[in-house]
Order: sequence, then structure tokens, then C-alpha cells
Amino acid sequence: MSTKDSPSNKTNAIELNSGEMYMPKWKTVRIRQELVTAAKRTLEEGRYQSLSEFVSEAIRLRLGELKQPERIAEKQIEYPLIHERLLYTPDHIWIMVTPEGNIRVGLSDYAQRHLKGIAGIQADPIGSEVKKKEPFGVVETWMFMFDLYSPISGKIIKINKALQDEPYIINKDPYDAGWIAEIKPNNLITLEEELRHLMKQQEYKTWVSKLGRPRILAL
Amino acid sequence: MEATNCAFKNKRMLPPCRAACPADVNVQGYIALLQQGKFKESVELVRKSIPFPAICGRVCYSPCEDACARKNVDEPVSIRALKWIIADIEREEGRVKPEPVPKTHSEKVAVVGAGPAGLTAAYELAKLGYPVTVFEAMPEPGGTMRYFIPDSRLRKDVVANEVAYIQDLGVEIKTGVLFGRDLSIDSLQNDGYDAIFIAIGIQKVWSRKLKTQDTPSLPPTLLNIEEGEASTKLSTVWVDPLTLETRIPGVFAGGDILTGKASGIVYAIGAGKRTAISIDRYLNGQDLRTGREEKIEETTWVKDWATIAKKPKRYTSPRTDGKQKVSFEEAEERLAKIKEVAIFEARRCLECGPCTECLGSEELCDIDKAVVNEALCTGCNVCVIICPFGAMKKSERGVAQVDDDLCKGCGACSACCPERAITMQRATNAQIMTNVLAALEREFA
Repeated sequence: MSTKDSPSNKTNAIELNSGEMYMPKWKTVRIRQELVTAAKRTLEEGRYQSLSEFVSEAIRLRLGELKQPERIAEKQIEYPLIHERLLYTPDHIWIMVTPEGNIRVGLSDYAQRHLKGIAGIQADPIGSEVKKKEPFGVVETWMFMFDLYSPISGKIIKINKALQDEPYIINKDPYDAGWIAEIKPNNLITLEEELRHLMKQQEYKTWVSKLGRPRILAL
Repeated sequence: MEATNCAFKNKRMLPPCRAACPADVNVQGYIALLQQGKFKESVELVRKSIPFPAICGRVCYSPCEDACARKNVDEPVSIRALKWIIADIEREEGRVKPEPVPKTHSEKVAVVGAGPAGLTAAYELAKLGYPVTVFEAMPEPGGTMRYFIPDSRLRKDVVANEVAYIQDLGVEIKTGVLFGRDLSIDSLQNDGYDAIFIAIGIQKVWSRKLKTQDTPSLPPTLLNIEEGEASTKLSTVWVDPLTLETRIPGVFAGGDILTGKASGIVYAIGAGKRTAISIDRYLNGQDLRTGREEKIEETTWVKDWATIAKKPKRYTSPRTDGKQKVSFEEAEERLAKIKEVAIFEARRCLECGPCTECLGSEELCDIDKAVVNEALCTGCNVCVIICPFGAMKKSERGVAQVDDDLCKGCGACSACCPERAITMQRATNAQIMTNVLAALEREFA
């Protein structure tokens, strides 16, 4: 157990005289009024049913706190997978222009990490028309469904059939084997203009890092 | 904490929820793990007793909630809904693939019928290292769970996922094999199966579903023949109600085939588990009945329900099993929210059962225990009065005595003992105080 919690700590709600902090003689220590009030307040709030529950909760809190460094390490995952020549939409779709002038789309690494429980991926069939910023397919995980938003208007000319049997490919290789579909743009002339508004690698990286993360659960 | 240190080897009492469960799920255990936010460990614990956490979470009729002691205060804990959500969160956070269990036994086991009873028996026997083959008449395994429960209550992919888990453990499932037409008890015995479990469900219902006139050719020795007034009626199969063994040695039967009516998935799972124990004993040449008739006592520490603060139910299961369309950011938020609510609901558990449920032997439980130094104890009785769980008693020698089954390690006795005769096994007094202060700090920061 760490001994960081000293009475000089500013956030300390209870002030104790430094000598009595760790209570060398347990039986002679009178529980101070502040501690009693604080404990009472906690119990009145109804979060704990008894002081004993409160104490065991405190032990859990402490154990949870000891695990904190690991969690911080988890947060700082880099994105080594993001290719430089890819473009990104705010819907976490990456775009690559193929040599034939078509658009290959897939889901980014950020999206992939929300798809650990992927159950299936369904793009619209070959030949169907898609419109810019409208869904052209759907990804299903165990609990949720996510729309795939098309970055441009056009026609679907290819879909990755491997994903239908093995949607897990998207977790392993979102940028290469995990591509989803190829779209032939309706208007080649305005294509360049449309793509200019999309994010480049560095922009996307910064943008993703700013996205709100849910707060870590206090145990 | 090593397994040998665990003071609660003799599990002789159960909390009401576990006692009520036909499949003997360690409810208090998984709820306790959930309180600590250990979602994965919690599902693993459920899987120790049943192979279908997600299915039971959806369609079990939850006798555990009817028995829950919390109902004496306000409403029972949402035990079933919590099982649903922990199983879903586990799957949502990644596909679960267990390691196949190595085959340590050479005796082959055949299970006829891939419904809840048959699959549970196969699962339990595969975990023990037996090579198990399941024969199923329908094109897909799952039985009642797949073909009779509507999609709105139980999605097909949920069943497929749980069956895949059993297959990953090393169970072989052969579909499209009809008992009575392609298989019989004799043919299975000739193929070298040392034990057979018949779990084919209610025949009338299934032959209609299979669109077949074939009825299973069960030998008359298996059947329960009732002498009616007009004619001799063949009803269900006769088995020993304790061991589920039929009149033919090595042949067992369980599930709906015994009752002749749909009796609930959790009952079938219970039957599958009991059969697995019987088959294991049969193949090892042990007595099937020894030690199985004992009734385990039910217990709670709560003496006065009026003293317990009311906390209304926060979490109930969703009405339908549909998926919602969200964005990636929303999904992350919702998942965090669901987890928070689930932990809050788990905290409503009174943990009224004995400490045998704490999993201390499996290093999952952080619980502590009180120890009395009898040389210092003067028998003042303060600890007996203060203990909220009724775990302290005055022994015949006039000193305090800890009932290890009931002690939950709160440290209240240790804190109040005027002679400092009670200490905790793991935490020192200073540590407990540090923890209290840390908790208060966080609470009022």
C-alpha cells in the first residue's frame, strides 16, 4: 500500500493531526468527528448499505488505483497502420484511388477497434447506386449496427467477398485485406474537388485523438 | 492467496439464488465479480456451471430471482438480465475462442440430440477430457433453443455462437442423423461408444418438425409402460431420478424426453450436468449414487430485513433482442454506460450467502478474513454485537470465534476490539485506515 495520502494533501476532505494519521495504537484512537460525519454522509446517500460495505469498497478502490498505470498505457496506442496516401472521412472510412480511377473504401483502425465483436458486414450489391454521405452498407457487431457512409456518389463495382465469410479480417488488416468495396464515381471531373475536402493522415490522426473517450469507470 | 489458504473448502451451504437454480450456477460469485467490474471473469465463472450464459440470460425463467433474498427488502436483483449483459459485453469486446481440451480418456461417449441437455452433457464431458460425439436430426444444432424459441426472444446467431464455443472445446457434432432411422442404441454400441446419453426431447413435436413418420426405436426396456384401463400406453423413458441411468447399463436419458412436456432450458441443462457426472462415474467404475442425495443447506446472514436500506432496481433487460444503429462514438459511450449500470445493479446484491462463494481459492476474490488471538481476547462480546454478518460467536472457552463461512472480511470486529485481539489475515489496521481515508477523499474531492 502506498503512503501517499498525507494530511497535507489539498484534496483531503478530512484533516487529521499528522501524528495520528496511521494510528499506531488502534484501540486507543478515537475516530474523529470529521471522519464520522463523512462516513455518515456517504451512508445517507444510500450508496453503501453499511460501514462494512463502505470499508470493503475502499479496499477495492485502492486495488483499482494500483492498476491505474496499465490503463494509462492502454490509452496511448499509436496508429502505425495509417497509410500516408489514404484519405479519411469523418465517418472513419478510408479512401484510396485505384489506378483505374475508382475509389476503394474501407474502415479505419479507429473504427476497427470498435468492431472487436464483429458479427457481419454487408455492402450493397454490385451495380447499386450510392450517394455521397448516404449509407452504402452496414456493419454489425454483437450489440450494435453501424452504417457505412459513402464518401462520393457513384456505382458499386466490386465488393470484398472474403469479408462475408470472415468479417474478422477487418480486425487483422483494416487497410489492405479488409477493404470493403470499390465505387466508380459518377462524375470524374468533380472527383478531385470532392476528395480535396477529406482529411489526410496527419489531420485524421489529430482529429481522432481529440474524440471524446468515455471516462474510466471508477470501481 | 493460495488455494491451500482458503478456509472454505467444505462447501456445505448455499445462498438462496444458487440453491434455487436447477443448473447450480454460482450466482453470488458472478455478481460479486461484477461488482468489482470484472466482466470477463464473471462470464468465465458462469461458464463453469453452464455452457449457455447468453441464452440463459435471455430466456431462462429465472428461479434465482424468485428466490433472491433482496425481495424481502424491495425487488430481487436482476440476475438474469445481468447474465445477459455480461455475456453480450464479452462477445462485443472480441470473439471468444476457447482452447480445445486434450482428450485424456479413451472411452467414447455418444450424445443423441443437440438440445440444451445433450449439449450441456457433451460440454461437461469434453471438459473432463472425454471424446464426445453429438448426433442431431435437424440440419443445425441447438434443438429447442434454435427451432422453437422465436427470433425476437433469442437470436439464432446467439445460439450459433454458444454452440461454436462447445465445438471449439473439442465436441464433434454430426447433424442430419435421425435416431431410430440412422442410429440405434445397438448400432452405437457396436461403433464402440461406451456410454450413450439420449436427449431427444419430446418426440411428437420433433417428428412433426422433421416431417417424418419415423419414431425412435427405443427398446421396450427403456420405456415407462403405464397399464391404462383400455390399452397399454407408452409414455416416457424410465430412468433413475437421481443418476438418470436407464435400465440398460451405460445408457442414460434426460431432458424433455423424461417429462414429456417442455420443462424449461435450465432444467434440461441441469439434467445434462447430472448425466455428465453419472457418465464420468460409470466410465471410471465408481458408484453412481454416492454422495449425491445430500441436500445442501440454504443460508443468509440477514436476520432483520427492516435494517436493510431500500435500493430500487436500476437495471432491467431490454424487451427485444434487436440491435440499434449508432455511430462508433455512441457505441463506446453506450457500452460504458451499460457497464456502469450493470455494476450498480450488481451492488444491490446482499451477498447473503456464505463466503464459500467468494472464489478465494481461484485468486479472484480480494476478500479478507478475521483472526482471533485467543490469548488476548477477554470475551467482552463487542465483536459479536458489531459483526453485521453474524460471523462472530463466543466459543465454549469464553473467547471470540470466527465462522469462516459467514465472515466477509469487512474488518469491523478488528476495528472495534478493545483488546486488539482480532486482526485481519491480509490487511493491517493501518492499511484499512488508509483505504478508508482514500475512499473518503475520492468521495468528497
